[in-house]
Amino acid sequence: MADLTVSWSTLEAVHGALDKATSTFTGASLPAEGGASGAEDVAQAFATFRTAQQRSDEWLADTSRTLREYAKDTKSLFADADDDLAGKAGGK
Amino acid sequence: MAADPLAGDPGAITRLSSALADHQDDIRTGAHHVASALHDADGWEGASKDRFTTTVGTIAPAAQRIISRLDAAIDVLDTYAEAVRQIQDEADRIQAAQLTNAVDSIANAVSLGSAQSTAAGSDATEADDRRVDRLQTDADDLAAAAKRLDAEWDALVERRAAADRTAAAGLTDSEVLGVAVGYAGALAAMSDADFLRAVAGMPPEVLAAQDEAVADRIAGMPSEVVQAWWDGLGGRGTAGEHSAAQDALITALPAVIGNLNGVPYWARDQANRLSAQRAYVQAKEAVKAAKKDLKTAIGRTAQLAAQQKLNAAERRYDQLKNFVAGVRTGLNGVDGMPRQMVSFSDAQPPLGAISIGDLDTADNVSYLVPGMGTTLQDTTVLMRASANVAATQRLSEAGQNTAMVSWIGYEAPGNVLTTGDPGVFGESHARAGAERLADDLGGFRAIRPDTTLNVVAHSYGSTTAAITLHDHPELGVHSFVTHGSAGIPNSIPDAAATNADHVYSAQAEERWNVAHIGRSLSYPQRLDPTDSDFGSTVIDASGADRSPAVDVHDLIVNPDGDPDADHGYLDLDTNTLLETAKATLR
Repeated sequence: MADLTVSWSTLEAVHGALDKATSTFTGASLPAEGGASGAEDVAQAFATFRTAQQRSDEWLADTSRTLREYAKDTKSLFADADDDLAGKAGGK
Repeated sequence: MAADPLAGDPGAITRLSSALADHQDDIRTGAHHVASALHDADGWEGASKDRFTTTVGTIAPAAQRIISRLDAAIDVLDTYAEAVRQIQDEADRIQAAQLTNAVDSIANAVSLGSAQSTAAGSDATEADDRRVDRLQTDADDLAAAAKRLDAEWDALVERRAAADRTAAAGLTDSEVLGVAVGYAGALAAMSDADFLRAVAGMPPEVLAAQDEAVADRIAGMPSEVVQAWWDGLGGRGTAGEHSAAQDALITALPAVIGNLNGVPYWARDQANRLSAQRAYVQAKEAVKAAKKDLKTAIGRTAQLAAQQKLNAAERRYDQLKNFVAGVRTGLNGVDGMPRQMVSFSDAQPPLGAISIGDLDTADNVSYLVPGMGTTLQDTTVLMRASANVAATQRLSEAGQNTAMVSWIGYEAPGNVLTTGDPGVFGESHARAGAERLADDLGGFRAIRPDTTLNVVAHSYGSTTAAITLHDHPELGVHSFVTHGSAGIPNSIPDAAATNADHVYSAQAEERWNVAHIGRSLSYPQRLDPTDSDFGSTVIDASGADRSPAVDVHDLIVNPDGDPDADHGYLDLDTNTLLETAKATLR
């Protein structure tokens, strides 16, 4: 196993930054064509582009959210391990 | 249909372009926060960091590619807006000229008619004839001008059609979409091998943007094809070390990869955590929306419908919340054992399985199949039962590298005692569940052909599992253990017909005789595996060797091991727990 070095504040900071990233990616909205072109084929092409773009945005948001949760889980696991060790040391 | 040179609003097209530029700014800001997270993680080292680094490293380049594609779309829209503006200006000029021409033509026609009338009179002069000639010449000139204007309009219609075509082609170009339009169609025509190669070559954000057909085709691949493909992308990999292509697939198609037989379980775990987290967030939002709807519902009928919608949303939320908690909830006796989300289906009801232990490396793997009334809301309870078995296995030398899977992979019938649902007496839930269990066990066997595989089943879960084992001897199940069986279908007359190497069965003196009632009222009538005719090795549930007797139908009701409290089949200190652990290790 690789040497483990981490601090609670490090994981807190990582979690916080990823929380901001997730919110930003989730809140990023794409405009709808709304008849701007007045041309059916252009409106359809814009819809295709918009759907693809939206899915790519979702990927960014999902990936950031997963990493945020990973940082949070890692933080929780350290806390659990700490409690567990404290319990064992106390003979519980 | 002919293009309309006057259609559309260049200002609105420019605003679309500006909105895309704003969107680029959002993506840049998000990517900046991700970069900050990576920077903040400098003080973090170890295996857990490796996994983080691999995935976080994919975001910045993806964000950059997305920004570039938006740049390309902005260029297309700006060019198009300018073209539409020029065409509309030109159209205005032509239409104004046409109008003037039309007015002049009418006036000229009136004048000409009048002049011709005068020229035809008895007192007409030469001057009248000259006037008619001049007005006729004017009429000819106006007609020629009208024709020229019509030709200019036709040319403008064609110019607008060309501008529309250019814009439509530009917006669906590979520079904008990241992949050529119609690529899915091209993929459909490819061989499996070429298709998989093409998919693995796509950047994750582009892969995520593909339509359902791509995901469906991957999901339908045979496990041996999937396994060879996955290994070709950089080996089997581990949670900490794997290729960028594997990571792209996990993050781009989590619902597919998470349940794809042939993919290693570390990857399925990562994908399922992503899918389950997403489903959980959506369920939370659905509850909020349902509460809002209930507040605004007017009239008894609408309120009743809104309340029912809220109840369903809360039920689903509770199920997903408990499932997501399953990978981190505190469990006794299994310290150091990793957990994996083995499967997850965001269906109605949602289904899934979580392992305690590493399914990619464990020497001995047992699936725990629960009975009636079990949903994902019971995940952590079922995992406590699994943890008790794993912890007991660890007490022996042979049990140092095992895994227990809490499998809630089928829609169990509702609890007849609390819901009145009579499904537990029939076989339809079991037969449908048996197919799903066979698929999951088959998927495990495909990548772990030599590992000892056991099935521990409770209540109606034993009905389900017995059908799976009977119908699929190729699964090679070592031990099949039943607790409080709701009955084995009579088409499986004895232990040998389950195809398991060993069959063990426990039946306690349960309060309310739940299992007994389940068997007695079953139709077609099911068998008690503890009957001597069945040929199962019976596990004593009555309190052997000073262990407490099992006295309720549940698997686990006594997490603290209180000797005076009730005991379920897999509660601590019971003989049924000990014998289950032994049976799975024999």
